[in-house]
Order: sequence, then structure tokens, then C-alpha cells
Amino acid sequence: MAVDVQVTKETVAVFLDVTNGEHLHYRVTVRGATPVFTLVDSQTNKLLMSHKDTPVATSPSVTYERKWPLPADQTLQVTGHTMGFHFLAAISYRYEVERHFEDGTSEVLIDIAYSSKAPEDWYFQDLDVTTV
Amino acid sequence: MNTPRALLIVVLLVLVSSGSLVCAQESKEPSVAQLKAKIAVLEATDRDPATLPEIKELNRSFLKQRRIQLKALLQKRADALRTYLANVGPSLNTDEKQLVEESIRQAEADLQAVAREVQASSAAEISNALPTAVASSQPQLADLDLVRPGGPANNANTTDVASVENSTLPNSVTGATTSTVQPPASGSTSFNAELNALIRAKARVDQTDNTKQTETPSIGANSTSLVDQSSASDLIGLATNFAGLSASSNDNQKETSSVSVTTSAYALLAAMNRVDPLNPVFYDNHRAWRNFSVTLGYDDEDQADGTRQRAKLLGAKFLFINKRDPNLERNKKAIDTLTASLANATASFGNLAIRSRGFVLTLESVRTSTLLPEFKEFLEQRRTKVELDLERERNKLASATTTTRPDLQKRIDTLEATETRIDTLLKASDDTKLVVGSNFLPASTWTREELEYRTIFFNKYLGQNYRDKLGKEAADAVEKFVDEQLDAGELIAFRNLDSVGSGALEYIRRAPQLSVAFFTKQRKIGLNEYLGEAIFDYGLANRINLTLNGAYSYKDSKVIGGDQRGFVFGGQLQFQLNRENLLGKKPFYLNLSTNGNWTSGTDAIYKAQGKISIPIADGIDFPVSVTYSNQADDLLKESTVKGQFGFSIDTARLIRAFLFR
Repeated sequence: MAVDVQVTKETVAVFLDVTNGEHLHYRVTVRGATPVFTLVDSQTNKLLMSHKDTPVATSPSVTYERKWPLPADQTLQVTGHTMGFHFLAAISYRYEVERHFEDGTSEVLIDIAYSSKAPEDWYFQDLDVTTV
Repeated sequence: MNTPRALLIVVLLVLVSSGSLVCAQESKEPSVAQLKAKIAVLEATDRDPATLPEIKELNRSFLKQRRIQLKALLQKRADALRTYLANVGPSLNTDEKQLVEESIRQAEADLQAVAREVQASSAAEISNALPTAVASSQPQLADLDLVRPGGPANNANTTDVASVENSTLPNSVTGATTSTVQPPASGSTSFNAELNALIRAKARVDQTDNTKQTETPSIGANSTSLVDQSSASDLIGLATNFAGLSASSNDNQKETSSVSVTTSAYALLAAMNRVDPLNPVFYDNHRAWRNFSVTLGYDDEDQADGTRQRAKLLGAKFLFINKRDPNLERNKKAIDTLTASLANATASFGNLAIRSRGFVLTLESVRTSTLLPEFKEFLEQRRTKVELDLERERNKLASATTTTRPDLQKRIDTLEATETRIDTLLKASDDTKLVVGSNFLPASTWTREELEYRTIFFNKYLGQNYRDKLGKEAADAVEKFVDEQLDAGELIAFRNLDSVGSGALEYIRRAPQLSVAFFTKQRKIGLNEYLGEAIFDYGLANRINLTLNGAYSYKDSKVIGGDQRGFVFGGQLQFQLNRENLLGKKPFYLNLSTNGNWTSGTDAIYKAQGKISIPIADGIDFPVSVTYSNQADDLLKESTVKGQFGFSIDTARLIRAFLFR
């Protein structure tokens, strides 16, 4: 089976001025029996978020969120933040990434819904992150 | 309107619409005005109280699709206007600029309005689909079935794990672009999607799910199922069987048919609570409610006098043992192992993506034709901006107070340093700019401008339609690079993910299930039948499932002394013959089953059946069966061979296949 990918907004790379307070906001909304997803910093090999975290909301939808960078996060000049979704027991995920600016405004970088008919399916979404 | 007729209309509409979709794809892209006009027509149909519920449901699917199309078109228009303004803005006068800006605002307002409508329609589907479907005995489009890894497996010809998708599309889906990843990757996709497809093509180990029963229960004489399964659909399933053929018959019997709808208590609970049944927390918290399901249906039977009577089918099942819920403690270890494997594969994907993007920057054709010329252009524009900023800050500095002066001076210093850096970059040899290291990452000597432009370049050339934007030659080179990178070592993480995923699937799928069911067939003329049975499912091996039925039957005759009691035992081995492909069709299934019936007052009846389920299209299966019986029926004491075929229609999959094509 194939993964259906509904793209509202897809961004390949982001340039983030963390010294001026810019940050990313990750959000995953899941549907199905058991979600299985992992957000990984591919250069530091750190797990940034997964379905094992406590969801920020359970009704009407189950939603997970994560801000990056947090004080404990390592920021490399260039890295990749990769989201992996597995459809073993979930049928759809919505993945959103926002870039927040110092002045409180924000822009949507990624807003994509993934769905699959097949429990063995997976899909990865990578975001190239450059920080100064 | 009777049920088969309604069903037929729905199927025809879907087929007609598929044709129109194909035509639409081949024709020129419609304008915003054309799409708005089409939407208006569909909206009028939706509001028309005379529109049948089935048609309305289908119409809403198309309406949503048109809105998504419109949204994409409006997005394109807004982007084009913004690009236009950015490119020719300095050449426009104030009025002209305002005109363009007003057009952008209008496009954005339209875009937001359409996005709201799409979201609203998705939300409406969630809240409306279940109550409608459950309340009606007619087949509904909301053919729902919950995700279960391997689910109450061993159930052929049914809705699969994603069939819910269609009727309760995620409220999140407001998508403008749809791409279906299939190897080899198509041209109209992002580099990220292509990378997924390339990895999948090389690493994939297909597994599949044999799902749940939507066939009419075997008590229906026209059912192609000889043995029932232990679990029904978690939400709602629909099944229909058509012609009954007899190898020994050449009479002019009319076609008979049977239709049944099965729903679970969980579906009703979710509907009553107005909760998305696919909310993982609700799903996990109400596990027990999925153990009970009911079936309603009918079986059209030909009578000896040439007339036909409709027998009612009623049934209920309760799952006493269900070890196939993914959230059970026994299955959590498998999920945890999968999570760890997914994290590894995710990191591998990220590394490969970074290398592949970096490789693009090394391609000579890319460097000479786009990268370096456009970088120069970027630097020149940036320099102009820096010059203007510098001039403004210097003017401010002239009148600055002692308190503001230090900050202003700092900004001026920064701008001057930027200007110097840009001048150096503009004078530098092309060979020294945007040069990645051996790891395809920027070297530590890269300037801020290089890093910034790298991001701009990636977004411009590696997003949607990246092949068109990057050019065939470069895209082919990137694909070749990825292919070379995906050696055995690189693929380990992905193969391991497939292997662990398959293992988890099989582990859960093969867990035992035991249910007790009750079915009855009520007739105006003739015997009323009652069947109580215990059903046991167990996965013997990968893609082989065993189902055993033991049943007590009672036939209530209106003739005094004519009652019949009996015991029925059935067993079925189900073999999944091939892996699920990437095109959406379900696999072939071969079922070998046998059934013995020892009824009082009659000779024992033994049946053996071979059945193959052929997926003829996404959402439509064609079960063909050959049944041997030592007796045709209670009157004819001779053996017969009876061939049957039918259609098992998964409406959700069917609609979804068209919506997402």
C-alpha cells in the first residue's frame, strides 16, 4: 500500500536565528488505535519527541507538541529534524511545524496529513535546520 | 428506495465520477471561477432536501475534493502574485502596487474561507457518519473499520485497517496537494517524497493484513463464506452477495442475493458520545465495547412456486478472548521494539536526506546554471538592502542621543561587516563558494549568507515538483546518488524497521481470539433457523490462519413435530497467497474449509469448499467459491457441486481510492 500524503504546506529547509529568540514548534495529531512516531535530530541522534510523550490534548484529538530548541537542546549549525511515522496501528497523522519569531509572530513551515491503508507502512519527513 | 438499488446507484456514481476524474486530469486545469461554479452546483445538491442520503454523502465527498482543488489553485494564485510583486514591485507605482496587494489579500481571504469549509466538512463527516450509518439498516458509505494491527485477523474480504479513513477523514486534512508514493517515484513530488519512495523500493518487505468479516454470515444460503470469523468490524461493515449458481441446475431460477450490515457497540458508543472513534485515547479506554457486535441483513430466497421471499438475518457476536488489541500489555513490547527501530530508521533517513541535499550542491550543472548565478543575484540584492540599512542607521546616528548611540553603532558595525563579507563573496572565485565538505555538510568557514542561501535554494528546488524545478539531468543524478548510498549497510535500519514491523504485526495477528455468536434467519414461509456458535481464530503461521466453528442449530418448523436440531462443526484454513502490493489492491486469499451438519431427522451433510478472493479493484473483491456437498438439500439425496461468485464491496476503500487518486 502507499502512504497518502496531503500537503498543505511543505518546507524543505529553515534558517533559524536562535540568538534572536527564533524557535520551532512541532505538533503531531494522531488517529488510530496506537500511534507510533519519532522525531529525531539526525546529527545529534537525539530523540526530540515521540508517541511516548504525554499528549498536550486528548480531546477532540490526541495531540503531541514540542518546542525546539529547549535550553537542554544542542544546536548545531546544520542538522536535520526528521519525523518518522509508522502505520502499524494508526491510520493517519497530521504533522505541523511552525517557525516562531522573536516578535511573537509565526509562520507555518509544514502542514501535512499522512494516511495509509497498510499496517506495515512508514513515512519520513525531513526538515533541514540551519541555526545561527 | 430498496437497498440494492441504492447501492447500485452509489457504485455507478462512483464509477462515473472516476471517469470524470480521469478526464479532468487529462484536460486543462480549471480556473478559479470554473471550480467555484462547480462547487456551487454541488452545494445546491447538498442543500436539496430531496437528495437521497447516499447521494448526499457521495456528493459531499466530491464537494470536498473540489474545495481542495480550489484551495490549491488559490494558493498557487496567491504565491504567483507574491512572486510577481517581489520581482516587479520596484517598477510599479503606488496604485499598481496597491492593486496587486489587494489581489493577494483577496486570494488569501478566499483561501482561508475554502480552508475553513474543508475543515468544517471533515468535522461534519466525523460527527455525522456514524449516527447515520448506525441508525439505518441500509448500506451506508460510512464503511468503517478500526485500525488493528492484524486486527481480529483471519477475516477475509473485509474492510481493512484504513477504511475508516474515508468516512472520517482527519479533521486535519486540509490538503492542497495529494501525492501517492509509489516506486518508482513520479515527477510531481518533493524530494522528500521521492527519497521515501526510493528507500521503500529498495528496502520494503511487504506484509499485509487479513482483516475482518464483511461477508454475509454463512447462515445465509447465498453467502460465499462457509465459516464465520471470530470478530466483526470494529465499527461498521457491509457485505453483499449476488448470483447463486448451481452446477447441477439449468432451470430459470432468478438471482438471489443477501446483504448484511455489522456494527459494534463501540461504534454506537462513539456516536452517542460524538467522539472520533479513531481517537487513540478513546479507543484504548473503551476496549471492551469493541467485543460486542451485531449483524442485520436479509437473504432473498427463491421458492418452489417461482416466487421469492426475503428472509431476515439477525446476529450478534461477543469476543470472550481477544489478544489482538495493540494496546494490550502482551503487545506493548512489540510496539516498544518497533519504536526503537523507527527512531533508528528516522535518524538514518535524516542523514541520507542531508547528504543527498548536499550532493545537489556539488553537481556541476546545478552550480553553473542555477546555484552560483542565483547566489550572486542574492548577494547583490542583499548588498543593496544592507547599503540602504546602513545609510538609514548612519542618518540616525547623526542625531542620536548618548543612550541610543552605542546600540546604533553596534548595528552599523554589524552591517558594515556584512557589507564587507558580501563584497568578499562577490569577488571570490566560484570554486570557493557554497562548497560542502566530504560529509556533504557546509564547512565551518561558510558565511551566514551562504548558509541562508543554501536554505533558500533547497526550498526553491527540492520542494514540490522538484524534478521539474531541478531539471531531469540533475534529478536523475541525485536519484543515482541516493541509489548508490542505499547499500546494504545503509539499508539496515530500514530493513530492520520492516522486519520489526512485520514481526510485530505477525505477533499480534496470530494471537488467539474466541467469540460466541448467535445468528437467526427468520422466514414468513418455511423454517426459522437459529444458530449459536463458538468461534476460535488462531494464526498458525505467517499468512496462514485457522478458524474453527462449533455450533448448535435449531430449525423451528410451523409443522408440529417438524422441528430440527443439529450440531454443525466447521473449520477453515485461510492462506494469503501474495503480498499486498503498493497499488491499493488487497492480496489474493485462498480459503479451504469444511463443514459437517448433523441434524435430527436427516442424514448428515458434509460440505467442503475452496474459495479464492480476487481483488479486482481497490475496494472491490470478487470471491469465487466451489462447494462440494454430499447432499444438495434435504430433499435431493444426491451430491452436488455448487459454484458461487459475488462482490465484496468495501465502500470506504472504494470512495477513498477515487478521492486520493
